[in-house]
Amino acid sequence: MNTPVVVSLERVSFTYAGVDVLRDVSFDFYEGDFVGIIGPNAGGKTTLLKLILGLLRPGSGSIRVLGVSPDEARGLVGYVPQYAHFDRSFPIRVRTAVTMGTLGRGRMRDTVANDAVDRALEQVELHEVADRQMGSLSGGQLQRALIARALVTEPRLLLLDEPTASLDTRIGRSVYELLEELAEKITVVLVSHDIGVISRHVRTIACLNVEMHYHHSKHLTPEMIEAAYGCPVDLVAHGHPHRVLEQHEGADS
Amino acid sequence: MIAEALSYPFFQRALIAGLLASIACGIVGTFVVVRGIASISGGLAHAAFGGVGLGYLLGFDPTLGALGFGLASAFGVEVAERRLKQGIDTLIAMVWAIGMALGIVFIALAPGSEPDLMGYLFGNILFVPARFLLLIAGLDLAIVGIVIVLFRRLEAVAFDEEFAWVIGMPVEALSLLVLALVATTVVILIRVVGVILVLALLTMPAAIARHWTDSLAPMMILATIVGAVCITVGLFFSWALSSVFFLDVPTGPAIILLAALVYSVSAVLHRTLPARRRSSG
Repeated sequence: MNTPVVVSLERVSFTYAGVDVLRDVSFDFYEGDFVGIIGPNAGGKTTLLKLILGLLRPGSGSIRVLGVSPDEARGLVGYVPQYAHFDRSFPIRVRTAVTMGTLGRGRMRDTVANDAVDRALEQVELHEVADRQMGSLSGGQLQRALIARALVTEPRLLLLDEPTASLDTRIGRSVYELLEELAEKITVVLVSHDIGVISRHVRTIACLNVEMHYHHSKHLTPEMIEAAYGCPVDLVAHGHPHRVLEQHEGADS
Repeated sequence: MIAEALSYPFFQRALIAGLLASIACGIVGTFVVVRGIASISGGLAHAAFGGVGLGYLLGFDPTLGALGFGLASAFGVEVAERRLKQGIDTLIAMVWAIGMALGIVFIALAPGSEPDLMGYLFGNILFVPARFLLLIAGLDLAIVGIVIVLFRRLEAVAFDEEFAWVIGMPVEALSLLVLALVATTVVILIRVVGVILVLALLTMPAAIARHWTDSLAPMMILATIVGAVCITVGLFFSWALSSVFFLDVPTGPAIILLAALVYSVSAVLHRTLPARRRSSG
């Protein structure tokens, strides 16, 4: 392929307190990919994101992000953490929190930063609540605010941790529609345990449960599901608008 | 009666010291409260005691020793937590105990009569030496200057350290700076008002201010005002009790109990007036 590789992991393992969190994970994500990584809770999804971000260091193996080490890629990668972990009583307004994205490496001039913040707030449709306290927002709005904050860093790669966890279906869908829009321009990688919602929106799917199964396609094989969830396949094949599970027809890589 | 109190130089000094201290405590205390590092502040305050002992033993200013120990402990706790992945709670308890133990050892080894340790730990705002007023004013200036210059970055790290790291901010240095500000504030003010009142002033006014503000800068200003009011009212109240009713209520505890009362009322009002809170944003 001629498309540049954005994230590349080679035989990455990570152990915490003697337990394997990730084992021998290798994959390449390419520019323009919109990848959903699914897997059970405690399957290593958040750890994988933190390794790519450089917040954690792998026990073994190598990670390249945008052609450099995760440390060197700081400031080039947008990150949307799990909003549910936020201290909602923290005294900070939406606009201030979004402006945080302009403080990184290569800081912007104030006027440029303000414009970038305005644009990001418009893009996620939060300009009307920009002066409210973060904690007064609904879950969906808070999630959008965190996406806006990541967008003002003008990232080439956007990583999201459980972007729709504990949002109701309708609001979750609107978040995914926003992500689909963003994925037209930049590489988007998100992790989720919600296989149903994710499969409708992303372009390719990876399964992660300590080990990673990824064929750069949207087809989930029964083996991938079994490996990731350790449960019978028909549980996850049920009740989707389109079948997620298809015959494993010559999976490309 | 108020005029009478104000005519005494020691009362004037106490009032000025208290008002100056409320500036440092309002600003630094805001970081202490939103970052949840009140117990670190307690640990640093007691760790500094080792430096006091060393000062007595080797014959230099105990406050300098306390400052050195306070900053070294702040650095040690921060690095051990981040780099060695040690539990913060345990680290705090350890520097707390180690500092006190070293202080006791140094003082036992020091020749001559034992210095007034109780005075060090439980200093009295009514006995503030005049030269300390300048010292606190200097502390205020330094804190205000640093916080104005680095405000956005300190706020970002306080709000979301992980994100700050991801976008390339020097998170470790900024966190250390906040701890250094806490250590310096605590060490200087301990000599003036004692460890208990310092910890109270670092937490209670800021906690009260948090109820009624929706961003960091107004919280710092309100915390400073609340602290100043509590100190002023507490000083006059304990003066009135002793001069009119001949009840000797120590000033420091009077201020603390008053602040605790204000905090309780504020917490209840904050809960029961949710509408006002939402519309204020």
